[in-house]
Amino acid sequence: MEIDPCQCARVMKAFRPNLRVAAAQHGYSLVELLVAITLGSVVLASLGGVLLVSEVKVSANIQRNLDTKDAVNRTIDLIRREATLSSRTDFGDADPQNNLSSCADNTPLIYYQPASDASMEENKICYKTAVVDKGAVNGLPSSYGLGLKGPCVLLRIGPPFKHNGDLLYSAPNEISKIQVLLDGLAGAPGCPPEGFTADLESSLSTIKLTSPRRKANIQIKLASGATYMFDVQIPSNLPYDGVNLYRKCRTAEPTESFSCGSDSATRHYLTEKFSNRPEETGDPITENIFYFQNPYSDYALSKSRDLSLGACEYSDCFVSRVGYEVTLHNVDALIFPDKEIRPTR
Amino acid sequence: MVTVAVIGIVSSIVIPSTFRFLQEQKLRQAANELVSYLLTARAKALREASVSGKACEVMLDNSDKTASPTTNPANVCKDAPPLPILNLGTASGDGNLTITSNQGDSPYLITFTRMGTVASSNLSPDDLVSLPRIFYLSHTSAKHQRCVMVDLNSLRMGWRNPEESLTCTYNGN
Repeated sequence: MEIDPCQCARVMKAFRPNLRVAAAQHGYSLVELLVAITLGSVVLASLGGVLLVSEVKVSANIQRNLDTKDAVNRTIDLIRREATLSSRTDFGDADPQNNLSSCADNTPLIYYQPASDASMEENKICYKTAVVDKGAVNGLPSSYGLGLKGPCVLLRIGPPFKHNGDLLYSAPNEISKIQVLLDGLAGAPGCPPEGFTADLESSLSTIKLTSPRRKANIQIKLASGATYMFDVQIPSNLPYDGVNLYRKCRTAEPTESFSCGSDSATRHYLTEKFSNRPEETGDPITENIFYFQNPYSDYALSKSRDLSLGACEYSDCFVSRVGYEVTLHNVDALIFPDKEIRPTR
Repeated sequence: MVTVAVIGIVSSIVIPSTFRFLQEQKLRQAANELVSYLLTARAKALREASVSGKACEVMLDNSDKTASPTTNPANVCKDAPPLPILNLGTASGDGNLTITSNQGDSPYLITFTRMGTVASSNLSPDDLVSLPRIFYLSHTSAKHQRCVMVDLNSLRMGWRNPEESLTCTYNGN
């Protein structure tokens, strides 16, 4: 019997859907299932791993920020507390030499505290920035080679603390301990002063005859971009008022009210701003501010009447204006309406 | 046979690294607990030492792996309620924990003043403390050791790789 090929094809075509149904009912093979499970596991494990790593990174970042905030808060607290214990304060730019061995004058913030013994020099506590190079700061103890982040750090150079919280002045070799207060300060390269700045306001913030204070605005800027601004109260003497710098005026007796003297008088006096007691020598213990009424350009400043002896200094400062002159001693600040001068020591 | 060989090879790679990972996690936990303990001691000094005129002195002892307040009468952390004893051996998971320091010998004394700063001298011996004080927590087989730094103003946990460097790295991990 001869088979018609066309008829055979028709028969096969008629049975094909049934074969498909049978295959579908048969399901997946074991190999297919294993491959699918393996692939699925790999995908899920990858996703889980990514999520876990992300969680660890976020957690570490939060912890790092908390640590930084804690360190900044404690630094602010320390700077404020030490201000209240200080007799006077000095301000300057960051030390370009980065000299850590001493509390150089041109550091952003220096506190002076009275010496325990009159024969000793007053104690200095200074706050300054330093460059971090390869995780360390040159000049610091070797134990500080600890992977500091930088680019700058804030240092405290001064006496260490006793267990009761007071400063240890008795051991001379312990004075000028260098401590890292804060890591991660902004300011590279060279750590210019933007990472840590301190500016003294010209006017007294607390006008009390017993404890006058000035306000200093301090700013800490971190490399992360966070900026912390706060103020500290700096002990001050009553300011001396240049408004009352009269031509050739003098007093005969300290208790006598202020009056003008004769043309032959050789001394001229400033008065304290809030009393009329004549005074020309500032108290060396606390800050002495001398205010002047006219702009800075109206005055000439020198060490003495003899201009060849050099510039006005802390110990001696001769201030003259046309027809007016005065010699000042222990001068921390000369404040004019347009400028503040802090003579060198 | 092939399966057994593969399992053996994989196990020999995975098990030691897993063991080391777990040990390092335990070291991290112990260091975390130590940092937390010292932060509590500092907080107690800040809160109570100003009134009492005392300081808070805690002792870190390698022999029994504990941190505890000293018995000095001027120790505010000993006063009621006292700071409890912390067993770092328990926190680190086994008895192989070793505590060393970059300064002095165990037991190590750490003093927090009423300003919360670390004192220049301990309460008992009048020795000067060099700062920073770094305490290393290590297991023999851990590749990465943990370290805790106590400075004038900060308390930080870091890690170090003794095979590469003797320094601590502080990155929050």
